[in-house]
Amino acid sequence: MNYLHVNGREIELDEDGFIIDPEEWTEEVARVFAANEGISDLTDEHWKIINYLHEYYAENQIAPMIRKLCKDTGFSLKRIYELFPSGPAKGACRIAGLPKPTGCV
Amino acid sequence: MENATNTLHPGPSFREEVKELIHDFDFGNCLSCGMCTAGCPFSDLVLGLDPRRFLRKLLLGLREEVLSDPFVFLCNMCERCTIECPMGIKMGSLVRTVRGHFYTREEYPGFLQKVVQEQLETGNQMSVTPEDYLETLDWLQEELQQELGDPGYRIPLDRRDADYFYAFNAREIKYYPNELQAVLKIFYVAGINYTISSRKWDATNLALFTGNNEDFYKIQMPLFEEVVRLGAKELIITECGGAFHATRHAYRSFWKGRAFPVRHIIQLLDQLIGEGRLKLDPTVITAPVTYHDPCSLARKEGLVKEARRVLKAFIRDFREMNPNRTDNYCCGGGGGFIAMPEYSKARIEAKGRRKAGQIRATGAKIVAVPCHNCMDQINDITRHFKLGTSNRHVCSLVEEALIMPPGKKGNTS
Repeated sequence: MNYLHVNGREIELDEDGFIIDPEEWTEEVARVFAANEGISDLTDEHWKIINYLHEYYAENQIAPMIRKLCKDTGFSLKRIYELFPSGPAKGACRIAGLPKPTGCV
Repeated sequence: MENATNTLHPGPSFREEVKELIHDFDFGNCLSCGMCTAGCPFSDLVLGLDPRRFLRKLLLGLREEVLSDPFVFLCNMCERCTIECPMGIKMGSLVRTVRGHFYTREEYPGFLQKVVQEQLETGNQMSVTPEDYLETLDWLQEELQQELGDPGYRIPLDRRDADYFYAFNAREIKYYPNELQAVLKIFYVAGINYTISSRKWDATNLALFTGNNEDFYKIQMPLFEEVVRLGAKELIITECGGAFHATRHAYRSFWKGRAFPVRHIIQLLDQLIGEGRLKLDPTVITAPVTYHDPCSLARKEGLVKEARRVLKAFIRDFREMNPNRTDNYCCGGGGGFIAMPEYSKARIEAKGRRKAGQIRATGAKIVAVPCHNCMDQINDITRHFKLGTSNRHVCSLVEEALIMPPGKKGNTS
């Protein structure tokens, strides 16, 4: 089993490094995930996307369409890729504490 | 030895059963030479990955031993072994047949069947609703109007009697619309008469990997019917090896309707560059580029030369991997392996090592990858082995180097 170490706590991850229980997610968890992605400093822009994704998932149990993410947060697709170089599915969703999406992503 | 064999209950019936299921294709001519295992890029990296042993069990009719062999799902069905086999035994077909006929849907590993189910229920593998699909297209249309400086630009939706019907992967709607946008821009510049469908647009078919032909047929047929409904002359498939091979395989195996060619988008790009309808600037991408031959394209569908012609049209420093073309190594994620997270370690750390070494040896900075599945695997490998390379789809490279014809704006951002 994989674990993410956050302030002495062990957060259980799946084989692909996504969180297993979204309830365990905190902002500190997001920071550690982000650091592992090579994003050392989470800006307000990052947080806007991370919080949107986390709340959307809590409500709908599914990741939003990228269209919806852009429309509701006001970011362009290009900007999202600049903020999360590994992309919305594997980068932003992982940091926001969503489980791994199924399908070819 | 005889006693030991007896306890395994060998018998001709299981072997005959499998033989019948693959239309009497004869795998009994196996010489048991082991070239398959020697040719498998992963047999010495992952325990239990031994095609020769699997084939022996099958030939002896050892039903239980075959069905409990981890090989059934560890195998990427990449057919690298078939390249080396002196008798040309198609291991990929054998493995797919065994998966499809001797396991229930509940027994498939990972989330393979979950995705198949979504495809059966919604017509696409990410359960994108028709409203969300059309809204995403509207958005892309607006983005392209701006980028092309052409307020009259329209995405040709459900256009009748077009030359080309373009089908893609649900991920290009849900997560990566920038990739679809690049393709639509290329089509615009080439000025081709094409269409995309409002009803059936996802060309992927995960039942290619479960081997369940009932599901495979049900997922595939609507796409062919839609090509006919819209009267398109050809079906063009996105940069997805699975979708391309599944579509061609289904077309050959089941389709009885009107005949039409099924081509990968690289083959169309090759044609359009050859006809002078796409002009590419050779000074844009100067870093060394290598190309990954996906098994589904090169070995299974013979797409080899077109990719080289496209890349060499604008890449100055092109470097082949070794081996390459139909001899190339699988990325390690083929055959549905990425959809089986229980094997992620074997997929990335063990199998990935082979591809990582191959990429590193080229010294390339960019890896051109014409398959979504290979792309995900190679991205995982790049990260794990810290390769420092950038992995790009061929269309994305072509779009970057596009020379806009006079009168058309289209900044390449």
